[in-house]
Amino acid sequence: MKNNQPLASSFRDPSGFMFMRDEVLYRQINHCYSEQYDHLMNSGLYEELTNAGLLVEHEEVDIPPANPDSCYKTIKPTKIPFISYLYEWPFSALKRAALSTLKIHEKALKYGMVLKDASGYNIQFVNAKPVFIDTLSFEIYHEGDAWVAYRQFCSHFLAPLALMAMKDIRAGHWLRIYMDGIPLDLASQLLPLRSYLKLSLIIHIHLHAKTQKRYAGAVTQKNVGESTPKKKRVLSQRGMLGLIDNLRSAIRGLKWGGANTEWAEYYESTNYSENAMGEKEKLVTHFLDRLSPKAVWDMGANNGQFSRLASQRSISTISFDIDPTAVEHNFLQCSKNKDTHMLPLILDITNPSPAIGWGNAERDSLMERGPVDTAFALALIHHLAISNNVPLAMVASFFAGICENLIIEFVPKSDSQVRTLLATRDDIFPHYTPTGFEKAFSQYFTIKEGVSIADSDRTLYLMKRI
Amino acid sequence: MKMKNNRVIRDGILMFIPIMGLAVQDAHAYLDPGTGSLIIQAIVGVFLAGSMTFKLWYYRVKEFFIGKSATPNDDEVDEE
Repeated sequence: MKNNQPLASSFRDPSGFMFMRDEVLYRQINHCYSEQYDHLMNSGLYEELTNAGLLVEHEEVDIPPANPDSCYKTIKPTKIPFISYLYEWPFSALKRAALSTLKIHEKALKYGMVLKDASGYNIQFVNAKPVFIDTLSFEIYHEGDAWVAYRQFCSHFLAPLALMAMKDIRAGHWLRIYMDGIPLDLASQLLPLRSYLKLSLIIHIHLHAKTQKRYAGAVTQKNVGESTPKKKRVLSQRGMLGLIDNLRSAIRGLKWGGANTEWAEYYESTNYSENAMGEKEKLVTHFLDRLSPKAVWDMGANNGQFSRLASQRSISTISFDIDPTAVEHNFLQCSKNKDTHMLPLILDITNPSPAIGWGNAERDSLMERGPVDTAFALALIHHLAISNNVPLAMVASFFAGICENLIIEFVPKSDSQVRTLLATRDDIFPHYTPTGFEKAFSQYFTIKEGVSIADSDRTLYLMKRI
Repeated sequence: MKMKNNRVIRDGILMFIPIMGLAVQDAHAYLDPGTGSLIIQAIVGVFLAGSMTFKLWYYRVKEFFIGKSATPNDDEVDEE
């Protein structure tokens, strides 16, 4: 990344931009945003939000500006350890991010400001809490103003949450396609009839979608750019508070029942004996103690049982799984345990999050967010190599791209889980053997240890990237 | 016939919503709020303001009888 160039995701808002210099992330605030920035900092709003852990902290820095012509100030925000996106969040994470956005908007109003955008991409999870990362999203409030970000909030948060809760949990994946949130007319069409029993959903999704369609071609004076239009009040301050309160009730009222899926009960229905599971935990712990990594990605973590071995050691842990149900269970368990070192995310390893947005560069792919110190691939290899026909060498190459150290479990054909996978298909995997596995991975990794897991046919390996 | 009546009623309501000159944030509101999204706020704004007023009074009355703050803690963690 070039020094001083705005980040690929930092171009929409003329108030400023993010840039990297010597691998440090800064934000330039432009002159045109000086009044708003000063109000944020001097009114007490910044202090209240940062004290509550709702807004990312920053320090003003005295460095040569990235763009001297437009620069008012340069700030250095606290570094976010791992960037995740709303299409990777489980239901409860998206819900928490939505409530956090509303809380910030409401607090801003007390100080004479509002959120001018309500993008889900402005939230990141830091120490398991949603934190708003866009310091320039605050605008001066004028009594009577409508909430400019209302549509965005409904599309980024309310519509996907309603679809996930009332239709199908997998609807969250659509946020990857619809980067600016799920279109409200689509959500309105897809939501079940019972959504009409909730007044807040009638207002914010169904009626909202209808008015969008009805006035699609209409213009306001603001649109046509008249210089001094006498503006009509849309929403009193009490109305704005009512809007926030109603949206909050709508979001809080959305519960996901949680149908059981293939993986959600995986560890309850695994073929591991209690003894073998205990042995596997001991081995993973032993490898972790040997490595002392700063960060771990657990690939195919299911409900996060093994991820917790890392997070309990205060290691920053991302717990990926393909199944939204398992990830949701994992997220709720982390909340219950008050585990601040772990973030469960939804990810299909056979089709990981790509780079999306303008120029395919606004949101990073998974690979661009790595590599990580250490990755786990526990009880995963057979799903990649047999269920998905990925050659072992390609699996090894993938892991070499995302981590320095790898703790990986080999599940042989004699294992009952693999036998089940092969029961209904031809065995076209002659190289899927311990020898074939070691040979494939030795192209990219040095095998440091390989230990048989007692009371099972499986082997756990510790590898270091060459 | 019923559908036609509904449409007439709906359009009748919407035509009284003045879309010219609706107030939006100035200068740095770089998002297009969308006319429909402004209209819906204008339509439901009065109702939401009323319900908010009712709610605040309800909490005040409750507070009077209970003798301590009955409003939800503003800083409570929004967790399930």
